[in-house]
Amino acid sequence: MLKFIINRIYIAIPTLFLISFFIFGLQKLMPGDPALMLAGEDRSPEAINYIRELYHLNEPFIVQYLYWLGDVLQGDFGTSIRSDESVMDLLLLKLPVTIELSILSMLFAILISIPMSIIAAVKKNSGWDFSSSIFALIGQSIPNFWLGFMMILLVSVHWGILPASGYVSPFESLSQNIQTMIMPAFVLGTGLAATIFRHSRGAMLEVLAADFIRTARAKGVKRKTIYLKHALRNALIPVVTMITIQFGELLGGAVLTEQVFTIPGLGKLIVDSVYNRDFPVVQGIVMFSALMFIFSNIIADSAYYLLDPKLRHREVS
Amino acid sequence: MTASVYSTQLNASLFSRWSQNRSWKKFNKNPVGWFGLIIIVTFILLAIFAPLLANYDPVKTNWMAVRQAPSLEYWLGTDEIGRDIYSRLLYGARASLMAGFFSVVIAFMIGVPLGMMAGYFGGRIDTVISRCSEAVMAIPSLILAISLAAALGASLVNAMIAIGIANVPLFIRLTRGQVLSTKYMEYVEAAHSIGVSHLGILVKYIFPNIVAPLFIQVTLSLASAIIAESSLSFLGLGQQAPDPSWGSMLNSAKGFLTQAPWMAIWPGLAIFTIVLAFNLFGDALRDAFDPK
Repeated sequence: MLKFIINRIYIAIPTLFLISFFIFGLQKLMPGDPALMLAGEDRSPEAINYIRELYHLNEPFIVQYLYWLGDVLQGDFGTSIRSDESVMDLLLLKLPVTIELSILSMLFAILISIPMSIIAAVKKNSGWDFSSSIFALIGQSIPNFWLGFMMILLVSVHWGILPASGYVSPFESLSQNIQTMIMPAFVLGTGLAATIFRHSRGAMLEVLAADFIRTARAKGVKRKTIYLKHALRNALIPVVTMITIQFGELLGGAVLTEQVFTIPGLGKLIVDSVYNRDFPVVQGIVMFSALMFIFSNIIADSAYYLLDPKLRHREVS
Repeated sequence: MTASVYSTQLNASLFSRWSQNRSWKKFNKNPVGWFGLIIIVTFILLAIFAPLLANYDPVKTNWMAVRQAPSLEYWLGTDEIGRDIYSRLLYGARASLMAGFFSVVIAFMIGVPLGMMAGYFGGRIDTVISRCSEAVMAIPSLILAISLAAALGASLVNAMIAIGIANVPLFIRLTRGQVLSTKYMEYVEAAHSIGVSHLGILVKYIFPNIVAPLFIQVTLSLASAIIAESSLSFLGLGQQAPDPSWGSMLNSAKGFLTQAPWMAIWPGLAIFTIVLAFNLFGDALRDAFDPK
């Protein structure tokens, strides 16, 4: 197992270097002189020259990249142009909020989609199957920021039962934290639930048509045991890996959800940094989200390896 | 039969075969796919004929009619500076559909040739293209589009480019896989044996046979590209004021949710409807081409 994980990390290293090169290159696409931008109001030649020296802006592109990469490898993503804070500190400050939102929306998506997909697959072509497929299609097509607006209109404005925006840390007040996170988690989780449902239903249908299920039926095994023990366990293998990969993608959706509900997470930070042309922060978040994606991919591969006995036996033999 | 004759027939008969074959029959029997297609065509027509159908100038402000609720005069209401939402919705369809279309064209034009090269030539070319594609794919597509749009500057054209680039790896991966399963077919071997160039084989023999899955991907990508454009415009990184797009209309609506909910309801409903239509159409196409 350890050998498998080390191998996956080894494969991910060149990809990470390419990503870092790409992210650094993005900065060079920006119009204008970065030294002038960094200098802000103090545009004296001395200040501009100092900035050029400090950020190695006089050096060739590749040298600048290597300096930047060296800092990144030591956990230094630079300093925010706007707030003068370390980008890493900003990331660590905002990350728990986005992680909480992602975990809650993932939980919501799993709790809704997996039971729905089991019933839909078992009762294929029934009214339940049809209506849950429609739900999945709607979930896949609805823009989550619009769903957020509609939820605010209905739940906060019309019913007045949940706050429309804001965030309270769970360490401050757990009940208020839950109140502020229910709607964002629902909004972010809806599209995810649709994706999981479609994968899970397909996987269940495939497994239910397999020979070993027919054998179990012929042996007179109880229906519940067949569906939950034999079919679900096998169908979940590809679904679990898909869910893990989706966790890395959640950050993209969190950008919009955090914007709609004014949640101070990474998503809101990247949008605010784009408005303020605070490129070191944008670079830091993009690099960080890529790292999260690769990390969740490695976990997904490891989960697949753990769950699928065929894969383990192949390696042993 | 020589390989070139075979290929010519293959190209010429592609659409006639489509009208007679099993896939067409399967699609024809699927009312959901047709429903999606009809909605798509309707939206395209609405966008084309927007100048004829609009009741007012979409960018003209009217301070006497600020945040008016839907009425006979203003069918879908007005926005915070008195612009007619119905007219803006029609013109906004142009921006949103155009952005969706061109970003998919960009992704297709870059992704398909690269994917074909990776799959066909293999070796180092494949390694380089696949590694670069994996690197881009590791960044969540909206984050990538946001950072590209931020670097290039906020505009509809830059949003299209950003969304297009973010979608390139999807087309590379799909095309590469399709080419890998096609390149050892007998007719490709036959073309090799009569000395057809690599380019000729890729364009005349392989491409026509991987069109179907690519077309399905184009349809589904259009849906995600329209959502991506509206997301970027919602964040202020796409269409710029005063020109309308559905996303930018939602952006201006966010400050008036309680006072003028119609400002948010209609543009979102329009995005939802067209994306649903593309998903229905794409799913129906996928079912029609599924050999099972």
